[in-house]
Amino acid sequence: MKTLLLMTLEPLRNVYSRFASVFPNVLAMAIILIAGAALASAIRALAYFLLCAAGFDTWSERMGFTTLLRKADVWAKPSQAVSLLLYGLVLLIAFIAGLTALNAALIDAAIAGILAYLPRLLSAVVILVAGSVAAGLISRGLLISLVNSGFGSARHYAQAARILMFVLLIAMALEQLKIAPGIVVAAFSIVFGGIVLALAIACGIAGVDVIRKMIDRQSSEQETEAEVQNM
Amino acid sequence: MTPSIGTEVSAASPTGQDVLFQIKKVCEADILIGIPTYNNANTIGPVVRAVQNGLARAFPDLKAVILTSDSNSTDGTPLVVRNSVVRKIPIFIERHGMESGMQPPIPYYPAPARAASLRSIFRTAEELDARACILLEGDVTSITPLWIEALAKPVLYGRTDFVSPVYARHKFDSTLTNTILYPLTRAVYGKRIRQPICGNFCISGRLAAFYHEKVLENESGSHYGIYYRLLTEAIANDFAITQVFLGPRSNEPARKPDVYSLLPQVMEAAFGLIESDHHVWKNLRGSEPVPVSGSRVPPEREAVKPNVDRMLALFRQGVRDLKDILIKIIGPADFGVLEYVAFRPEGTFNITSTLWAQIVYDYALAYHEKKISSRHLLKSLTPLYLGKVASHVLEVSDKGEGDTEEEIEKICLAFEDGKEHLVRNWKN
Repeated sequence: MKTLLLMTLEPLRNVYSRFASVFPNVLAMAIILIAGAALASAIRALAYFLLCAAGFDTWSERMGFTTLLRKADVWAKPSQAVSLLLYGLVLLIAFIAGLTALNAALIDAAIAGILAYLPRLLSAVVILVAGSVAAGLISRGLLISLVNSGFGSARHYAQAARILMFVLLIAMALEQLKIAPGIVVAAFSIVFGGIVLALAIACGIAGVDVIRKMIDRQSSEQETEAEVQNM
Repeated sequence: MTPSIGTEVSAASPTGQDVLFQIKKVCEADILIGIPTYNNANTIGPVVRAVQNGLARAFPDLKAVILTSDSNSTDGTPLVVRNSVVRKIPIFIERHGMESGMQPPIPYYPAPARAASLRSIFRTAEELDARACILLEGDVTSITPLWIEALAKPVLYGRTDFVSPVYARHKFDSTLTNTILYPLTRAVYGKRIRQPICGNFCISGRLAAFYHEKVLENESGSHYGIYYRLLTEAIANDFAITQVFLGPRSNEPARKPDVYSLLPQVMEAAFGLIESDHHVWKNLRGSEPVPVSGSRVPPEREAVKPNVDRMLALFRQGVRDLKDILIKIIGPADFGVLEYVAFRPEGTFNITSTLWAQIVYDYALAYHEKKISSRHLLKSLTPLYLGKVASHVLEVSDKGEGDTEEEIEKICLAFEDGKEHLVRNWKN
């Protein structure tokens, strides 16, 4: 009877001791997650307040950032989008910190890998965001200048310039993220090189008369100069 | 004291004290004639001679000084000035270097370092305690000696601080003034000044001092908007303004700026001043006439009729290709009307004065609210302006001078009536 009791209680004791060793870590993780969620909410509210006070929505409208969001099917105000992004970021950090609290070797290794990758992810995001705003400004300026010059295909050229800039930005972002870097660089070089070659051929064919006139004018100027010097 | 003739002085120090010292050593003056110059060798000779003859004819008993403020001309302009001396009137030639980092901008601007030239002229007028200061353009080709008397007399013998010219213009000339600047200035500032941007005008000594101390102290560059600013500052600060008929006005044709560089400069100045002078115009309604003296004369030459087809083509392309930008600035309702008008046949094409006033005010509001980059905003106005000019030319083609002025009056009244839109939507 005693043996039966021992045999019955021993597994329960084992489970209990295992649970007892893990429970503090699990509790720590839960506390970190709850605190993280609360902090993320607070940061979201504060960020939204500060961005509204600083006129971030107006600035985004002016810089083309809002248009970018709309094209990405994001219909929230820019200040809401940014504060939501911060909320997600803080929540992610809290989640990672919570996982670390479990003290599991495998999980620690995975988290270390993620944390090492974060700076690259951040720089890729910055490249895409800043680059998109710049591409928008440049293509808009190009469109207006071409329209004022009476260039018939102004809209297409401005659109083509914007697409080329986005191709460049995506290549730069993928290169930062180390996603198939060899293929990305090769593909980008081929595409860009091809475009430049096509433009050079087009300019050469279309501009052959203009270039001929420029060369003729230059040689006649040189001849006149030589004649004057010989006088 | 023996007056100096053709003395060349360099503005070696940033404040040009060397120049002032030289001038003050020699004489005082009742009248100062200031001429900013830059590569005006072809035209400055007749200008300087006309000034000297005008002074000798109208004011033989008054002391006068001529100051040409040159922005480092490379065509020998100062030499031409020296060789144009015909009377014993002191002429000083001041040379400015470019302000640091400045290159002569392309395309052509009136003169680099224009602000520095004007600052120097006004400072000189203040230091000499001149009663009148006449500013003239170095490239004006229609100047006569009579201009000097017409410009200076109201200041010397009247109670006027600013004498603005009224030129005899052909109906196809001055489209920027007739379709935007005159109506806008009249509606916003409440004064009917026919030529809001003028390079030939006369001011009193106290206004010259005001400009030097308060207006141009931080101004730099060469833009056309400087002259517009001088006028609006005079209005905003309650200086007495009159106008005088000067007859035809023409400048050296090769130096005429194109609309693509002129319009953004001028409108940037106009919208910027509307922003800073909000306290002046927000309660003003309507406009009052500004007295004009002298005799109106008809224009001497036939103007070349603008290329309406090209303007219409550029306008239509602008409406089609800049749709997203225009909707953001003027709103979908006005854009819809503009789009409807744009593709009407030439015989029925007409941008009404009301629509045009609304568009200009929307641009002023968009500039104030910084809806898009100001550079892009101002350049995007160019196709719309060309459309309005085409509409105006088609409207007045078969009309005489009197009927043309009536059309311009309609534009002005539309701007005055539409001002409520600007006031109501202005966000502080």
